[in-house]
Amino acid sequence: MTEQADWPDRLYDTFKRADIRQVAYVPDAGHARLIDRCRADPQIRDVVLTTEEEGVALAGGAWLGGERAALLMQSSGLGNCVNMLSLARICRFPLLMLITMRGEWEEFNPWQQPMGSIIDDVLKLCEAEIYRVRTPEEVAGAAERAVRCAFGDERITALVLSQQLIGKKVWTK
Amino acid sequence: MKLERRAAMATLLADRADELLVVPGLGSTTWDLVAAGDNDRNFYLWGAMGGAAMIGLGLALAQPAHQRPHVAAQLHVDPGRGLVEEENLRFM
Repeated sequence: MTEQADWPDRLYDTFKRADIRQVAYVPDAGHARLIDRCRADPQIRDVVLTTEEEGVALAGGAWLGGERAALLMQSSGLGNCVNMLSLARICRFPLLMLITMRGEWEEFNPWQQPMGSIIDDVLKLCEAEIYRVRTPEEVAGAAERAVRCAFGDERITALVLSQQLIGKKVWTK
Repeated sequence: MKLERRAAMATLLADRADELLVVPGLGSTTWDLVAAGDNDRNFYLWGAMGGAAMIGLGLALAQPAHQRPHVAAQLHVDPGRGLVEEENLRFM
């Protein structure tokens, strides 16, 4: 795998350095390699969700129990999380979300555009810190900063992976 | 049959183990849990509807030694009919 295409491994490396022990997700092509790495790791409990908001609650429970969690989702999933983010906001729980973007670049599905176009606004309204990644070279550094923001500052933190970044892996043969 | 929520919660917690962790559903279930006796190992919800079971799961995965028979209770009751409507009780 080329240096360009292995950016999901940089995310996995960051999880390991940060001692992330629970990873929650719904199936997602953009996160597929990271999900596979986490599922293969006996030190990480992977939890498949039926809706992304469950992962916000799971991460809160993990923190109460002394573990760090990460929540993987597509941009459309953020809309499903808005009320559940009240838990992290009221309780000042750290929350690390990795969001693969849809609806912003060479998108084939028009239903992805309404949520994809308001991601930054929704995150800001929910008091989240945003780390946006557009190129493979930015992934490792942004992920490290996002981890420090989430667990060091105890903030809701979103590492937002642009569709240009994901497109290179998912849609280019 | 009408379910008496307060009595149900009190019954569930009558012989509460010291290390029992309890996460109630938001709203009435939280008050039922308070009425059964405040405890440092209760985590009360007053919002984030639907989160209790998953908070309990994250907690149980993080604390496997405390996993059984500890309870995450999510009890939603339709006040008009007095019926258990949605999530009942989840035991982890």
